[in-house]
Amino acid sequence: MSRFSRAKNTVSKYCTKTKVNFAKQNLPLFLSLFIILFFIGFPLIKIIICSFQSDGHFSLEAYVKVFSNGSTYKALGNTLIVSVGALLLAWLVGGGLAFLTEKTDIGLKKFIRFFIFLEFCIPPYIFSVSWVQITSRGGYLNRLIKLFSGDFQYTFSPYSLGAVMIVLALHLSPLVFFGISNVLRKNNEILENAGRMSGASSFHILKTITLPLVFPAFLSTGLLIFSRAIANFEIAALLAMPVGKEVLTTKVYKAISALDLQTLSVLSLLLIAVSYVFYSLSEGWLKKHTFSVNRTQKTGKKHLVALGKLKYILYPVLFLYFTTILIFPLITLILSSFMKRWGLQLSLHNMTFNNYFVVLFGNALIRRGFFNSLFYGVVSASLATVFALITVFFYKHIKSRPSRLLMGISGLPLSIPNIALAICAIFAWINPPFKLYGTKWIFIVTYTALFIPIMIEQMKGIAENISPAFDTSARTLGIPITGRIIKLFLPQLSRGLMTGWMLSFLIALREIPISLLLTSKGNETIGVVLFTIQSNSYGMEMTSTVAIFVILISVVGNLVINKFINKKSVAYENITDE
Amino acid sequence: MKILQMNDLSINYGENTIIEHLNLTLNQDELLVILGPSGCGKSTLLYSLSGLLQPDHGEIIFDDAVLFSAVQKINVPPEQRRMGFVFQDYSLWPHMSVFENVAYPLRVQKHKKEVIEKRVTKLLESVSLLHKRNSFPAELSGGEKQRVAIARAIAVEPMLMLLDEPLANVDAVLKTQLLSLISQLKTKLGIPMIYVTHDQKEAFEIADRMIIMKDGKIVQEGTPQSIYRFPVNEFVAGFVGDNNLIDSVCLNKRMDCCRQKALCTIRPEDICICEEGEYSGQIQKITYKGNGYNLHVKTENSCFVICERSESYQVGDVVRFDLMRMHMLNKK
Repeated sequence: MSRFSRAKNTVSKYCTKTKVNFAKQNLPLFLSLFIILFFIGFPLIKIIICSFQSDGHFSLEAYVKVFSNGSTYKALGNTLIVSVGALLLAWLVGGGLAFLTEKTDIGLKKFIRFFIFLEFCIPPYIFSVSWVQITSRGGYLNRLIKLFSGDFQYTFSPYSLGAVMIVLALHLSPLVFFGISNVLRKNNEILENAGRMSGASSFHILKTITLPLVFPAFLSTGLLIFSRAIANFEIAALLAMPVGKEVLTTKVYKAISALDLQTLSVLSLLLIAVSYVFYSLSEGWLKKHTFSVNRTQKTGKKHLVALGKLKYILYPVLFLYFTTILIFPLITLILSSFMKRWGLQLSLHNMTFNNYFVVLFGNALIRRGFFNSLFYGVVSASLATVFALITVFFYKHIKSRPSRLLMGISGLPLSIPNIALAICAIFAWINPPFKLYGTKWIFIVTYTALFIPIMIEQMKGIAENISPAFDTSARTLGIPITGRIIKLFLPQLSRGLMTGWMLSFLIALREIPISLLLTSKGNETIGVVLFTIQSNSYGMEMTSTVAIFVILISVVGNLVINKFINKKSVAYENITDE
Repeated sequence: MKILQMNDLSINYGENTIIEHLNLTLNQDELLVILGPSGCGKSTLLYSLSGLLQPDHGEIIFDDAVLFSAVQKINVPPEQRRMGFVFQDYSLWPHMSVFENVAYPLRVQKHKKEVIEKRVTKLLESVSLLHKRNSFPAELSGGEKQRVAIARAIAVEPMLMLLDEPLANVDAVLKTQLLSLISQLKTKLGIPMIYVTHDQKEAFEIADRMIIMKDGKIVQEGTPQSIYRFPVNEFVAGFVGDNNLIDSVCLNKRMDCCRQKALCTIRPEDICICEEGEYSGQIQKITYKGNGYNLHVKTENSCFVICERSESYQVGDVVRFDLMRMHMLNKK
């Protein structure tokens, strides 16, 4: 047989096998698509169907009921007011600090960054707890004032929408800081140098080059912060609910106790819609308005704005700021964790190690909370890793309609507030044939749905920089799809994968709204424990002790994440032929 | 007339020395090309000259004014040096149109609106980009971007133009066009220019004078012709153009006068194939060069590359040749 006819035979054999190969090649894609539709799509569809049903028939009754009720608009109004206020404050603080550390010659930058990192590590609920500990009538601020002014007592209430706004802003300002710092650090040096060579002064460069280039990131970060502020539950639950003030998330939480499922579904959809609008605006704006700058060449000396004598005013301001928002709350938490009972006088006689003993060995609920959170975190983060890996691989290398659909659905939970995600899960998994409510599985399914987009976000950036030639060459060598994903794609994404896994794990440890709604006896998470022990006999001192442990784990976890992010050893991540 | 002097300049990045005790001068109306391999410190030199990078040692004097002096602690900021800088990656401001990019330095100098309009129009005309005045950098090709960058650099009416590998990202055809544009501008503006590149063809095409750099030091300086003909060492001989580097002991009796430790550089075009040639060898390989062929010929004790226009040779042929011109190097 001639060489030509042998080749011809091979080609025809290949053609007959094409259909079989196609199914084989796309098996992981369709499997993932099916599971992700089941985990994310099904709960969403279920809640939408439920909102249009009354006694098993199609009805708009629930929508009429919700939208004709004045309290809905009040809650919506409160949500928007709180979110706008928090956004403006977070912009001012986070953006200002980012500018100071990246663009001026202010000293102690490492300390400023470290304090902001610590601020980021403290879960929002714990921020709220320390706010109450400081500003309540029996709180540390009042005690401090008493120490200097005898019987004087101020009548400031720690519970109000204003308090929610401030605590929310403090919680979200590190995100603004990181977003703006990143853009300031990366993009502008070369372009600023071009400005200097054109004869412009530092101030003129700032006005005409630096700020216009940062503006899109500034606005996009703002919209993201806004959607996060709308979605926040725990701060509003602790600081607004006790005085009867409502925002959308707390209204949803209240509706669940009234067991009015139709109203609950409409309210949840309203919350999802509002949050989704701002999230999509942020994504869309960033895509259209981000200026990409080629950074392959040397940038010269980094030029910093000289602050001169202004520095000596800024140092005390920064000291006061970090003392108030970070050092003081942390000290109060630590002090409270050693108190025999919250509210007792600060003296060695009233202090004890017993709270730590109880947390570590004495209390089954707290122990179970820690164990469950760790278990849900590890299992869900690992499952999410697998799905995210498959999603990113197919999206990058095999561009098809199913792979785009998979990416689209996987990203949805990022724009859904956690409390709404929990409601969706309840609607989907409360009745047979998929009755997961009351079991550990409902946590794992919901957390997995929540973590998949987080993992994808972490991997996507790295995947974009990987040359498509890696996969093409593997295909020409006849390596099957599983081999290409596991042996070639996975090692290249390892850094993003580990960062995403750790981030997801930490969310499982800090998260409250999902666990609060899905919890059942024996399945409590540490979030639920934190939320409930404050109101029962254990009180504020035990809350503080648990909070210290959560902060410690959070700090260690974030340090590990930073280590992954700063690792520069994987050279092939930078290879690209695009 | 010397307009620029860099005396005993040293630049370090941490513990690494990038520029080492370098001395350089530039004459009025001269286009000086700094040529060298990647990482030799040529761009760093340009950055230090512009003021974007502060040297650690030495002084820079431009037009009798001290721009930098480590001893006198003088460092004039870049915005006051009146130098135009064309960056490798264009560095156009993405949020400004072509017009706004070029007008920026004029706005900084607080010119009137009508003056800016007139000057920018003229500048864009000179780089043939008037029709793109309202486009944004993202809408331009690489060559167009670089032309805008050149127009912007000229807009400041600089006393010295610095060009940092300006054609590194453009294709061969555009490269020729842009090189001719730069030459025209130099003649028109009558200002000195320093042009950094690692491409020897670019360097030969545009340079009045050339400097070859290696490891932060100047290895050789002179006219393009002198550098091509008389390289001072093996590095320059190998870096600038095709060259046969032959040990003098491998050459025939005619070279007996040579010192023992000498290297001869012989350009391929300086070898002539003739029937009575002094050397003979067999053709091992033939490479097509567009305007001729390079014949790789193996002699008894060496290998030569010979430039030949004729198509009549084949691999395996034995040829005789003579060396028309050669240059001796110190082997050290």
